Amino acid sequence: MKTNDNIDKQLDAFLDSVLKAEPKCNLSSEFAENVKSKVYNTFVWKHYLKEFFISYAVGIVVLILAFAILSFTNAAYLENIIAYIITYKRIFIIALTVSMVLLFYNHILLNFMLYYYKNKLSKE
Amino acid sequence: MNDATLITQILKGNQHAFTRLVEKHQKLVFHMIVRMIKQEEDVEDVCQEVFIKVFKNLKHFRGDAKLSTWIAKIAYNVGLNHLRKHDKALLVMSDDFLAYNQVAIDRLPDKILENDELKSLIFKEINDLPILYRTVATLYYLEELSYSEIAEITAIKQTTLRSYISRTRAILKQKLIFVLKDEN
Repeated sequence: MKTNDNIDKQLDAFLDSVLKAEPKCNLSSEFAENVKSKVYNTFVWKHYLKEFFISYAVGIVVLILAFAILSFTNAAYLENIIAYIITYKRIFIIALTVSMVLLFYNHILLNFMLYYYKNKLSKE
Repeated sequence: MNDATLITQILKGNQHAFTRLVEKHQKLVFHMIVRMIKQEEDVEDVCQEVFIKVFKNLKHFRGDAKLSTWIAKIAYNVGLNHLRKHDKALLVMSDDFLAYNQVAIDRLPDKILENDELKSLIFKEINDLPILYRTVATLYYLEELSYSEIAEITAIKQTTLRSYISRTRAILKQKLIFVLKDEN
C-alpha cells in the first residue's frame, strides 16, 4: 500500500517544519560578552607576558651580539667598556632596572590598567 | 564588518571585534552542539570551549574555507571530544535504528502543521538518531549548508552524506506515519 501523493507532500512539509525548527532552549543573552571576558582574562595576559619576555630577550641578544662583534674588531675598546661598566656598576644596575620596569609598565601594567578601567566603565 | 576585517581586528587585539565574531557565529555553534550533546546544562560550556579554540587558532586560519565552515569544523570536533569524555555510548552507531517497516497512511488529521504534540514527538525521534545523522541533518536543514560544506566540516564523503540525509528523512517519515496511524 502506497501513501498517496497529496498526503506524502503534507508529511514532507511537516517534516521540513520540524527539521528546520529552532531548538527550544537558547544561549544566555550575555554569552558573547562572557566568552570575550574569559578569553581575554586568560590568553591575553599570557600574550602580554610573552611579548614582555621576547622584548627583553631581544635586547639581551642585541647587547651580546654587539659585545661579540667588538671582541673581534676592537678588543681593547671592549675591555675599556667593561672596565667602565665595572667602575659605574651601580648606575648601570639602576639603568637596567629602570628599563625593565618601563618595559614591564608598557607591556603589562598599562594594558592591565586599560583593560581594568574599560571593564569598570562598561559595567557602570 | 566582514569576516576578514573581523579577523584582522581580533589579531590586533580588538576585543569588540571578537565579541562581534562570537555574536555572528554563536547560533551555528549552538545548533550543532545542542543536537550533538544531550545534557542541556553542558551546552553553554561546550559552546564557550568552541570559541576559546577559535580564538586560540585564529592566527592559523588561512581563509581557504569560509570562516563559518572553519568554526563549524571546530564545533564538530569539540562536540565529539566532549562525547568521548562524557558519553561514549552516544558515539556507537548501531544499525538497529535503520530497521523499520514500510507502512502507508490514507488519511491525515486536520491542521497537521500546527500539531505541536506531534512536533515534539518527532523532535524526540530526531534526538534519538545516531549522532552523525543528527549533526548532518542539523547542518543541512537548519543551517542550510551545502553538501560540500558539510563534507568539509564532518570529513564524510558527499555520497555518504546524501544517503544519511535520505535515510534520516525516510526513518522520520515512517515514524511519523506510525504515530499518525496509531492516532487514527
